[in-house]
Amino acid sequence: MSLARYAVRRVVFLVGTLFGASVITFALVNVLPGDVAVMILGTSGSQEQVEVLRQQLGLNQPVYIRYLDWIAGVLQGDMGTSLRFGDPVATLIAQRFPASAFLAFSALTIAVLVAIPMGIVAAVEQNTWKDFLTSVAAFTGISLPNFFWGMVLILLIASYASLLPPSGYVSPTEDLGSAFAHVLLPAGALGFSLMAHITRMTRSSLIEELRSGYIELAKMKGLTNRRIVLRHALRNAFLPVLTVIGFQLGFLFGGIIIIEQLFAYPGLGRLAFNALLNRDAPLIQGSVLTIAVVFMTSNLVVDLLYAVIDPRVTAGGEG
Amino acid sequence: MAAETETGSARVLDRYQRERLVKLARSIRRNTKALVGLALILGLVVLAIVSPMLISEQAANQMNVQDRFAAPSLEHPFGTDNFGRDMFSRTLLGVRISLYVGITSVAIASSVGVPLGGLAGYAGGAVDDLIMRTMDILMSFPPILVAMTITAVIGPTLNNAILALGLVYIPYFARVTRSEAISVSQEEFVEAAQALGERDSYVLFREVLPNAAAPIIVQASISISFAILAAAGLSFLGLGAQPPTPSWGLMLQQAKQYLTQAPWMAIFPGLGIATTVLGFNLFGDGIRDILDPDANTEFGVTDE
Repeated sequence: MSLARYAVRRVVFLVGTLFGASVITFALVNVLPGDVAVMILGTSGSQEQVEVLRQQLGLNQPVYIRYLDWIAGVLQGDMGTSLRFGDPVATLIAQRFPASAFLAFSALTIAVLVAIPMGIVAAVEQNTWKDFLTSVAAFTGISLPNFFWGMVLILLIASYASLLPPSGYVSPTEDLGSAFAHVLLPAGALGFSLMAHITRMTRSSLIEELRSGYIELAKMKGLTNRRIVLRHALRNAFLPVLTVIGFQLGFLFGGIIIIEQLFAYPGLGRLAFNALLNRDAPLIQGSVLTIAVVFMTSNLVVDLLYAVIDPRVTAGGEG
Repeated sequence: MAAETETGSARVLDRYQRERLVKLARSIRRNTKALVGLALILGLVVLAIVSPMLISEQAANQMNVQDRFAAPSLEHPFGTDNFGRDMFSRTLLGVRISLYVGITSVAIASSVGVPLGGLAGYAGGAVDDLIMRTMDILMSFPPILVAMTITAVIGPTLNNAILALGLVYIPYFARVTRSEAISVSQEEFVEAAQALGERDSYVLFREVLPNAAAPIIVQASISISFAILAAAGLSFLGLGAQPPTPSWGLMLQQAKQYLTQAPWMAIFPGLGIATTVLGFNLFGDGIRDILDPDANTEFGVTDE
């Protein structure tokens, strides 16, 4: 199968899965106990007022009609109106989205930039104190929740050392330096387990590559160690690292919710969490679905990258 | 006659499965990761059984405001919290809660996911498609997001968090079981059982699934560590255990406000989580290495 056909198949598949995801999102929210109309009006609302509002919100219609209404709106970019804020859900999401994208992207970048060199050092100097140290760091990294690392970073770097702000967000288009200063701690905390995973995977796949025949050949040809590692082995060790990133995307996107809460970071995760606490049904639906769409699209990008690098994927049919 | 062949084949099967388990146990002894993991898990299980006998939860929840924020000392080896409660007792009681969360949610996930995945792999065709496409849809959300939404909807309690996590991890068990069931279904003993005219449910539950057990054990061990981390996150957000339960996630949430004042309030529950998660991760990785010595496994991710 050609790469293009593989890509088309995956996209069609994605659309189907997303349709299912929208049904689940809607179903999750619409079994919420408690009447939305009562919630908006509070206890002061009379029975008639509640009834009028129910009518206005379309709550008296059967669930499947409400789903169709909602999904038809979503497809046209209209996700309804937030009960809490009174603003269109799509607008609220569009406002928060860049902050979360910046956070996730920074976390991924920090993780890769720190982990790959650490993994290389650990592999090349296998069984030395350096290798041991990175192993310990990686095992500790994976064994603690990201919000724990967030708290450690806040305590050490924001409170004790006063190097970086403990909370908030500045847009990179406004002030790049300040934007990085604000995103470093949450991104570090968010990327911690990813970092640990990538370090270990780089190490183990590089060790394997270094043992293989073509590296022996390169050595015999008189190439320097540095060149062998950087040019030959690392390139082939990249696939497993990509696997880790694909595997960890769910943790990355899930982690955003907790990390944004801890760092008072005004992103999509915090919006979704507050919507849950406020039982803001349209906002919950909108933000959960948006996170699912971004999550699945990122998964698709990783899979396609994988297929570009490794032709065996498309040859095998199933991704 | 049918009964006779059934008991006969069952006996052979039992012996076969027992031999496989003995072999697995022997390999565990030679694998450091699995051995350390197992030792940690057993240690924690002992703590989970013993600590509630020595420390009453009532005493651990007892507030003692004069004693608040006491640093670790002989009297309070892990210090005290913002209510003057002894962190040592609370951290130890947390072991039981943490294991309960991890093991129960994985039990829920596997009791649904394993039969579903087994059925998909064994039956194939339209049944397989229906089950696995549904699983794909469930996997199209980050797990913790769905768990959060479910818990917020049905009410933030520890048991609801466990239920939500159990639901969220179903697809992972279905996937692992399905791929294993496909390969086991092609084994001769399965074909033999089918040729003998055994019922499909018998073949699936007595022959296919028991022989797919090892990778499921790996998945279970790794999932327990994920579930413990996720449950800590839910409690941290107020969507899991509620005060004054001595749950590690909840203790971390309380520690958040007093980080500079009393860092020990975060350190010891954190150590608890780390030890538990590490134990199950190492054990899962170790078994995985034993089953498939050629693959690289790191924390449950395999490059293949």
